[in-house]
Amino acid sequence: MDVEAVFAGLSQAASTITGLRCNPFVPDSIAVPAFFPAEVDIDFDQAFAGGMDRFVITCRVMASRADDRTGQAKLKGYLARVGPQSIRAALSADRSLGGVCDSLHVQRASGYGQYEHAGTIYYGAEFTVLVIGSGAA
Amino acid sequence: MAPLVLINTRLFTGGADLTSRSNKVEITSEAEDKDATTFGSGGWKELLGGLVASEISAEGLWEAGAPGLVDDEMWLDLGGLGPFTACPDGAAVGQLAYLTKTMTGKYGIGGAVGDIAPWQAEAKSSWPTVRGLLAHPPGTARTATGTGTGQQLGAVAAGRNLYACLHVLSVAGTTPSITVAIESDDTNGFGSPVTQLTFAAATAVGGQVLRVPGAITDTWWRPKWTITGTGGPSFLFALSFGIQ
Repeated sequence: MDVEAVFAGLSQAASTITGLRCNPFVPDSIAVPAFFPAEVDIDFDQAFAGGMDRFVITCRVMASRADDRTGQAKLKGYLARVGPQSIRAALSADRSLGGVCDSLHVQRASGYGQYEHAGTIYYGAEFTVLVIGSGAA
Repeated sequence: MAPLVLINTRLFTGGADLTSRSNKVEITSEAEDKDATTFGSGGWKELLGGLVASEISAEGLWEAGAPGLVDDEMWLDLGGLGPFTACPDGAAVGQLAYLTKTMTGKYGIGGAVGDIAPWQAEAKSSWPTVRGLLAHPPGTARTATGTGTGQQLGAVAAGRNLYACLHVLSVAGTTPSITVAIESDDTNGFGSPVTQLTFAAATAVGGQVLRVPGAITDTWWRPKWTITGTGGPSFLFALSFGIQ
């Protein structure tokens, strides 16, 4: 399982949400609303002979703070379980991310609040995504 | 062999290579202790070894949907007898292998929401557990009749057996058939090989286990396979053997 491919798959999946600007990396500067995989923890060798690795990926979504009510309303839409703005639903639509992993689970959304990114404050939240796949690939 | 972190342990049962879908395997062999203490034992217990048995437990990551995947294989094996091979560190020819004929007695699946779907299985030996070698690697495709690398297992004394486990892991072609046998000879040149045991012809994924009794004075052993069929027959198989 390739980290770059998984990040790209998550970004691609989230980009199905209309208006959400997605990157497969942490961008130096962002145009909100923005989504990107930010951090990853990897547990190697969850099965013999590299049969499975386990990624826990933290993805971040940022919304504008120009207007408090509008920005937070948009962020809440991204946190919905289902619906056209739901990041959980978008990431879960194809749990193999086009074949780059075996399965994924959007485990939680957390950290609803304000985030500083490149010197600017945004409304934001984090998604924790468990991704499993072959370590041999 | 130096102390080992279990990373590349290979596990085969029936026609399944469970390696990349397993993350734990334990093999426990135990002899009953029989009390043979007498008044002449000098105040200390005397024990004799009784019946010996092995228990195997394994667990891993559930997968289903094709022959050779863990769920398909375990439901097929449950309550039945079949071959089992485990290699502590890789499956190259000549690697240490533990093999036996097992009765799969327990298979469990399922977990909590959000879990990576697990499986657990337990089996008990129906034949002796043998500390042998891997005779044919699982990752080398065979498309034509041939023989494998000779291994010096030693002679088979009277009262002992040569044991062999065959795991046919994949089959391709229109009418594919493979017949695997074990040959012996007194030198590694195999100038006058003798076929000591022959598995039934295999046309699909599956496993077989056989034994042949001693005395056999030959000390060198190798696999032989005969492939027939049309449409480009091709096989992946693992073979382990040993003397007990």
